[in-house]
Amino acid sequence: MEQLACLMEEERDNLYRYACYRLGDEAEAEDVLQEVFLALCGKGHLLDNVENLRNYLYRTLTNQCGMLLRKRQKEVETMVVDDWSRLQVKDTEPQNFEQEFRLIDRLLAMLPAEQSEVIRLHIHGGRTFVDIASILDAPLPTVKARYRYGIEKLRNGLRMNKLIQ
Amino acid sequence: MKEERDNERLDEQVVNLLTPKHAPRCNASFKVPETTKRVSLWRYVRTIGVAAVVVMGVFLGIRMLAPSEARAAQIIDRAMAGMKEVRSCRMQMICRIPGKSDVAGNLIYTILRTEKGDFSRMDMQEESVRPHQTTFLYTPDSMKVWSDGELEIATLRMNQKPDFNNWITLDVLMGKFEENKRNLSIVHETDTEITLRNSKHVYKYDYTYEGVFSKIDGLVKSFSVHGASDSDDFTMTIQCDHIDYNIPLTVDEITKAPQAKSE
Repeated sequence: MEQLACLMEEERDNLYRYACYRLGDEAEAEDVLQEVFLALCGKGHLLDNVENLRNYLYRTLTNQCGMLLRKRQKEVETMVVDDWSRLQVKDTEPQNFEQEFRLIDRLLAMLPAEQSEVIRLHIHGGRTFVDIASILDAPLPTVKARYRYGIEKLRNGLRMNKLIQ
Repeated sequence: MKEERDNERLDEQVVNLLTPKHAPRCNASFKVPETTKRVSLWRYVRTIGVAAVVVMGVFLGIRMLAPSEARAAQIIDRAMAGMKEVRSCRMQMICRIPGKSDVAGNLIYTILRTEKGDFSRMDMQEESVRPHQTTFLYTPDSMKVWSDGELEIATLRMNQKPDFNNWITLDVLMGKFEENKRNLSIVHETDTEITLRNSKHVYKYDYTYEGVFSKIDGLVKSFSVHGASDSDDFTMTIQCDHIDYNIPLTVDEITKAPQAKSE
């Protein structure tokens, strides 16, 4: 358990950043981290059998965030895929967390969930593609392709709408 | 070539847009809790149930085996040996916790042992408070959880032992009986069956575990768990009337996704 606590401290910023930009709520992100930590503590010696505790931790966090989002799906604003009209140039220069979350969330909502999850884990969670392959239980080339296609789609959409140049 | 360079430059801008610059700071600290937080009454009840059996073993560790206890211990040994030969099994349990919480639920636990490895599954149907259906499935390679028919978790098993939110399974129940042979008593006996009982007081709760064992093949055929507390008007009953062994069961059947809840 001490090992888990050390790992949580070590990964705190990455885990929290991932949860914040996944959920869009600082307090909720903190609650989720505590829930994940307690849930893993509850597993006790079962964790001894886990090959890579760090990746297992991220996997648990992604599952927990996914469950939370599905539960509140009806309450939150959902965006129509490919709706670029709702993004304006001023949105690309966020001044605070709320604005930044809205921008990132809207951009990633343009992508299939598999691609956005790889991007989140890589950019927000600071995970390598090898780690992400393990976390998502997907082949490494697939993970890299998801990232590449995701960035490519965003690039084309942003360029066509003159949001980047 | 120029287009390629342009794309790279634009990709950097995309990544820059996606990179947090206003990320909040996390103030949480992670200290190992003395006791793990329990979020549902189901989990609470199960934990107390398992803990009761463990404490029984410790408390009675110094006692010598009386003749009837020795016989009861032999029955458990035989049941444990018989369990190793079982290829498949299904048992249905009913849980009732009347009172303020008014929890009632049905649980179906199924196991299948194959050459490729073991499959185990728990279907939980909570009927009161908030009707809810949860299914846990462990295959040799993966773990899945469905909630109201919707797949919520699908991960690699990563050498984990099956953990149905600490809910008591046949293996766990038998394991606990085996740990606490010294406290076993014979409460009823027929030509074909013998009933063993374990009772213990833990904190402010009294728990009684009873199992009916076959004299023919040694296996446990049914069991019940009863918990009660006078101080907070708590009672709990878990009843399993019949356990089927070596039933015809395929991998497709045990891994089948549960039906989605109709609106």
